[in-house]
This record gives sequence, structure tokens and C-alpha cells, in this order.
Amino acid sequence: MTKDEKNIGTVISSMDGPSPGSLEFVVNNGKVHRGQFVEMDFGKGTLIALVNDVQKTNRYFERADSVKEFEKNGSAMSEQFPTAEWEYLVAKTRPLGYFENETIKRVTFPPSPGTRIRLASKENLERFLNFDENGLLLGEVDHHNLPVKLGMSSLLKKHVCFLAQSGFGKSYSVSVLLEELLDRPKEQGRIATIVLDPHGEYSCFAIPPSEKGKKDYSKKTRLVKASDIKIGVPKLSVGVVAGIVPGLSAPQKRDLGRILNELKKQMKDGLGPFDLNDLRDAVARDKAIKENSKGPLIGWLDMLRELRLFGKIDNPSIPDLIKPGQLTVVDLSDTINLKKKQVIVSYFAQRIFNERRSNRIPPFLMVLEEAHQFAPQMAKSETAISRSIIRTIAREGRKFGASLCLVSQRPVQLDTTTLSQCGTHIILRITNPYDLKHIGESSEGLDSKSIDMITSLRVGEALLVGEATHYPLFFKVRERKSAESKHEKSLEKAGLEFEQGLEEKDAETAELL
Amino acid sequence: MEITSVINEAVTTISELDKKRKILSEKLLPLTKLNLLESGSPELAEEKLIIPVEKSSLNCKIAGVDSGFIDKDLFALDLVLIRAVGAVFNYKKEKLAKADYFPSFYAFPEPSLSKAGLEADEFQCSKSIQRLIKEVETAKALIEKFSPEFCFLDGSIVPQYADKPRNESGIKSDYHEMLKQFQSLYKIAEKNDCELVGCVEDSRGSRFRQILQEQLLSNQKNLSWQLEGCYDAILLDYLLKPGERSFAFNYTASTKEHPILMDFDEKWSKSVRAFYLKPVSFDRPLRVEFLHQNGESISKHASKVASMVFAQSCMHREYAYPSILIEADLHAKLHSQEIEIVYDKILNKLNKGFKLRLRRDSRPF
Repeated sequence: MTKDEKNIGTVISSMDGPSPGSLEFVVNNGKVHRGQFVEMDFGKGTLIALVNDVQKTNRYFERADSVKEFEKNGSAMSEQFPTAEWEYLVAKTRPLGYFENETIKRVTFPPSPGTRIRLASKENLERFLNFDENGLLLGEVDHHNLPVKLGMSSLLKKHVCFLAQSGFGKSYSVSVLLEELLDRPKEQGRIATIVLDPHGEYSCFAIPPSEKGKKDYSKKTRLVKASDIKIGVPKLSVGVVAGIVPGLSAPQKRDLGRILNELKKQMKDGLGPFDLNDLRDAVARDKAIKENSKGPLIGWLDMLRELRLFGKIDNPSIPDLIKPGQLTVVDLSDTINLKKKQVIVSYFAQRIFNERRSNRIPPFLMVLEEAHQFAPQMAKSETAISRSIIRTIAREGRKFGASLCLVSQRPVQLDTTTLSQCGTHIILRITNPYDLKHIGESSEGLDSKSIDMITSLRVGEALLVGEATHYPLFFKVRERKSAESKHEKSLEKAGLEFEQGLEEKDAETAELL
Repeated sequence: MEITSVINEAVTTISELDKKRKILSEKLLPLTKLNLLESGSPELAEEKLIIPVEKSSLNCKIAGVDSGFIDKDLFALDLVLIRAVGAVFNYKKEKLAKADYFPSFYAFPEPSLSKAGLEADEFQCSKSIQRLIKEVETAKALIEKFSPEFCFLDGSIVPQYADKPRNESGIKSDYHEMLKQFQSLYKIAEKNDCELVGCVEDSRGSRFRQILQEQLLSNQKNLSWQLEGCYDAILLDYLLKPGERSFAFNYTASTKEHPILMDFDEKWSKSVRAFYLKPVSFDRPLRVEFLHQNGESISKHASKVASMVFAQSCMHREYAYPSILIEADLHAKLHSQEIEIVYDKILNKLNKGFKLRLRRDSRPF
């Protein structure tokens, strides 16, 4: 096909442009959709623009009173006037950048009215959007039939977040990302993945699928139930405890550190590992701690004991959890206590990050489902135990190969410092105006038109903004290979299963009696 | 005078005029009962003053031609853009089935430069002549290419007084060319059995009123005097109901004395007829002109034309104009940007610093 045959429209002169930030073109051949990419000759290079709105105009339908009048006799306007001939499709676009000598440059000068427009070619789009042949296949560019293959580093290194309201495919999209990480061959470089999963949505990865055609990831997945988790007290440092108990004062920290060190020394001397009771007793026995400091400290330790989370050794051990090409799902669904969940997240995050800094574990991606629960924006530090370490990883993780994947349905409640560190935002449908405003403020490169488009995304459609592609990209998330979570069952099916369970119980009771 | 008093005066004058005309039209009502043919006057060729019109069914091919022009005064000359466009509607079972255009759906306007050394009035006249020539040429080509049963022109089917230059004028030859083109159009319409119809949007004609005064009110001087100065369209707005027309009348009382028709061949100068039609309640009557040769019943002929104009113009209760001419107008209308494109191209080809723009168009503030 020649360039002329590929032409779909022509740049027109309008109130807003053409300018470096906006240009409109009249579509004279075929259709153009919102979210599609177009290209045009620009100097010695090629300019790429994103269609962010498409408008139809027709002179015959500009005046409501006239349309009503002409149609009052029962005949449609089209039966009285050649209205179809006057219909024009005008696409509003945002110039993104242009290629010149194999480099992408910012548009600082507008193309001329009259410039012919083509749909962006696959080759140009691949280069422009920074796609990587060996990248993670997340889906397909809408209307371009082009696989979205993002380089692992460009997507994850500076952290990623998935934002959407409930039911619009967050977990599904994250599962697609997890599949890609698990399918990644060793030669291309693999990382470890840990999912902190408050609802047990990713447990399905650890179970061989019963459904035909679904891929089995159970051998590469380790499932850890919250009820089985034990935090080894000897592994606790005063810093870790301070992270879990944000109210500790400096003298309390000093005293606790001293006592912990003494207990660790005794352990090395042959007394064996100690637990929280031993620590509490040691604090109670210690005569160097002032009484007004000891009381609250014992109180904190009692509070921790009530969580039933602490033991003599770690279970599971951190190096077992973090292995290249392995997925660890920490299923927190059997824990209702938010504080306990936050303590688990805080502890694991700190330990994993520290281990990674010391290069004792491979680079990793930590997926934080319902991230607003663990890094809330408006909560006091006492009720946001895990926020501090999540912030730290968000700020410093890039240097150490420690990546975050935040997943949230309430971006407005998610810590701004953490969210703003996410280099790539994958946004699915969101309609809440506060969340949209928050996303607009925290996502660079999102203009008002793109924000408008977020509200009209359908299930499985996503907008990617940020480091991974440099430019906003609307795409369809690919179909997942793994079996879907049990949480995805319909209300009807869940209701039926519940009642069947009751009937079975009744039958068993009757049999017993 | 203060603005409010001017507004109040205008409102009072308009309201009083409206009241007077209503009273006047009531006084004229008895005339509608008369059999005009009994008068024996050749000016009154139909039986009644007001005639009901039946809406024609739309199952034919109708053409419409309109033109637009725009000009730009430059220092040494004047730039004129003219676009004449024809549209053809093919109706089937009362519905528009297809639309064609001549020369094309979008025709770039034809640019021309004014003749050097013309006086201001001649320049206006010259532009109008050029525009009419283009419009008539388009109508001719349209009729020959598409053979429509009706061809509507936007405006009169006869050039206006203002289109006639002074005897010694340098554009006299253009004027004669225009007359030639008009008569050629009449001939082509006749040859192709195409009814040529002129629709005048806001007519200021007074021929109908003159006929009333001269032929029917000669014995009622007072009433006749009260009609003085009233345009036909205003007078008939009170007399006609939607779906009625006036009787058809000759374009002029004397073709030999009419400044334009006197220059036409007699066959055509005597054939121009007109009537007023009121298609809808809330718009003034439309002046309709057509060509009528002796031999056919004027009443039958006028009703045939009126039926089609009525069918084409009755869709909007506040706007009575044939839909084919609405479409042609949309195509012909010119915008100031279009002449700027041509002007910019001229300027680009001239040396930098060439002073083409008028001083009054170059004010710095």
C-alpha cells in the first residue's frame, strides 16, 4: 500500500490548533477510534499522535428547533435532505513526539494544516512505545492489533500500579503480569515475585487447574497462609520492631535493642532461640529500664503477643520465599485483623528489602493487593504500620532491584508519596471523581481527555501511562492462561454452593443422631 | 435622541403598521370573492385573487442552483470569488433517494479580478453580472446533464435593475453576455421540458399591489391610497392562508418599458410570470417566478408550479423555502477564509513589502 492509499485524513485549522499540543484532522477515509495512534510526515521524520476524541458534525443537525420542525411531518431529515453527505468525522489528537534520525523528540512546532494523516504503522508504534520483543505480553493495542510487549525493567524497575474500581479487572491484569513473570525463561533474566494477598485471589496459582486448557503454575508457586506465618523473634531487630510498633520512644528503642542483643548473645551461647514471652520476661526482669518506660514497653509486647504471630523461628524462611522464577502468594484472607495483616506486610517487606540490599535474595517484585490498606494516605502512623517500609521501598527500591506493584481500587486513599513513585500506572475503569482527580494529579502525562476516557473503559481495557511506554497507551488486557480465582464465581453459584453445604451438614447431623 | 426612545418609537411604528395592515387586509377581503375574469383585463388572467394550492407528491427529479460571492478590496484591483453550485434531488415515493451535484459536491470558487478603471457602482454591477452568468451557466449545464423536471433558481429568473450598467459603461458587453446566457437558459429549459422556477426569499416587489390598485381599486381611491408603499409580500401575508397563492400576473406591465426585459427577445420578455405562495403559517409568502408561453392555461400552469414549490417549502413552519435551494445554498455559500487563501497565495508570489492591502484594512490597532 502506498502512503497515499494509507491516508485516512487531513489536518485542519481549528481554534485550538494545529499546535504542538493539539491538532485536529478530518477523517476522509474509513474510521478512527479514540485511543488510536496516527502518524504523519513531519519535517524529515514522522510524528505520532494519539486520538483522544472523535466528533461527528453535520450542518443539518446543528439546530434542534429546525430538526424538530422538519421532522414533525413524520419524515426523517435524511428523507428530505442529503444529510449523510454533510456528515464529517473530526478527530482530535494530541501530538506525542516524532522520530528523527532514530531518536524520539518532543513536538515543539506544529505540523501544517493540510498534512495528510495515516494510521500509525506497527513498526513505528513498536519503536515509539518502547516495546520489547522479549518483554512481558500484557495485551494488545486497541484497534492496532499490536501485542503490548513491555520490557521487564521499563515496566517494573520504577514500580508499577494497577488502579481500577472493583470488578473491572485489576486482579485479572495482575494475574496476566504474574503469568508473564513465571513464563519468563532463565536466559532472559528472571526475578522473584511475592504477592501479599488480603483476599486470597491469587491462591489459584498454587492449585493445579481443573479447567481444561488452563496452564498449571502450581509447581512455580508457593502458597503461604497467614495462619501458618510465624515471625522469628530472634530475627527481629529493634528497627523492625519500631516499624511494627510505631509508638516506641527513643529510650524504649535503646533498652529494647540492648535486651534483644543480650538474648541473641545467649542464644549463640547455647540457650537456643527465644520467643516473645522470653523477650517480655527479659524486659520485665531488667533493672536498667526506668519504670515509666518499662510499663508501656511491656504493654506493646503484650499487644504483639496477642497477634499470635511471633515464634522462635521464621516460618516460612525468607530465602525460601524469594527465588527467581517463583511466585509466593501470602494469603491473608484468613486474617480479619487489619493490624495483624499490616504487621505481616511490614515484617515481610522489611526483611525482604534488607535481604535484597545485602544481595542474599534475587531481585523481586512485591505485589501489594489492596495497597490502600497497607499504605493509607490519611492514617496516623500507629494505624499505618506498613506504610513506612512501603514508602522506603518505593523511594529506594529501584537501586536494589526491589520493585513494587501496588493494586488499589481507591487511589485517593493510597499514600501519595508511594503512588507518585510508581513510574508506570496501569489504569482500568474508574468513575469516582475523587479517584480520577487523584490519578490526574499523580500521573504525569495524563491530560484531561485521557482522564475522561478512563470513565468509559470497558472491562479488560486499560490505560497505561508512564515510564514503560513514555506515552499514554490504551490496550486490551490479554486473556489469562491460568485458572481464574474462586472469588470470580457468580453470586448464583456462590449461593447454590452455600446452600448445598448446609444441606450436607444437616444430612451429616441427622446421620449422627 | 436616547436609545430607549428610539426603540420605543420603532416598536410603536411597527405595531401601528401591523394593526393598519390587518384592518386594510380585512377591507380587501371582499375582493377575494370577485371573479376577476369578468373584468376583462389582460392583467387579471385567473378567476380568483386567492387560489388554494394542492401539495405535489415528490416523485421526480428537482434541481436547484445557487451562487455565492465574496470580494476583497485591494489597492490596485479587487479580488472576487464566485461559486455557483447545482444540486439535484431524486425523489422516490416522497422520499429523497439520491442527491447529485454540479460541478461537484465541493467546488472551489472561481477567482477573478475586477476590470481596471471601473467606477464604484460599475464594480458592484460587474460583480453581480459575473455571478449571475456563473449561476446561469451552472443551471444550463445541470439541466442538460441531469434532465430534472424542475430547476429552481435562488432569486428571480430575470436580472434586476441594479444589474444594468449605464449606457456608456465599460461593462456593457458583460451585461449583454448575461442577457444572452439568461435567454439561452430559458431555451434549454424549454427544450428539456424543465420548469424553470425562481424563488425570491425576501421580495420587495409591488407588482401585485399595483394591479390591485389599478384594476380592482380604481373606484376606491381612499383604500387604494392606503395601500401605497406596501410590499406585496407584506400585504399578502395577511391575505393568504398556508397553502394558498395569489393569482399569477405578468412580471411587468409593459415589457417595452422595463429596463431589463426591454433588452430580451419578445418571446421571453412576455413569458415571465409571478405569483405569491404562502407555504407555512409563520413565514411570509414566497415570490415565485416562472416562464409561461401563451397557449397553455395560466391557471393550470401556475398551480403546477405552486404545487411543487409548496411541497418543497412547507416542512418548517417558520421557514418557507424549497429544500433543494437550502441544499444548494449550503454548497454555494462562501466564507471569508476562502478569499484569504487566494489573497495569501497572491501575496506569497509578490515581492516582499508589496503594498496590496488597503490602508483602512491595515490599521495597527
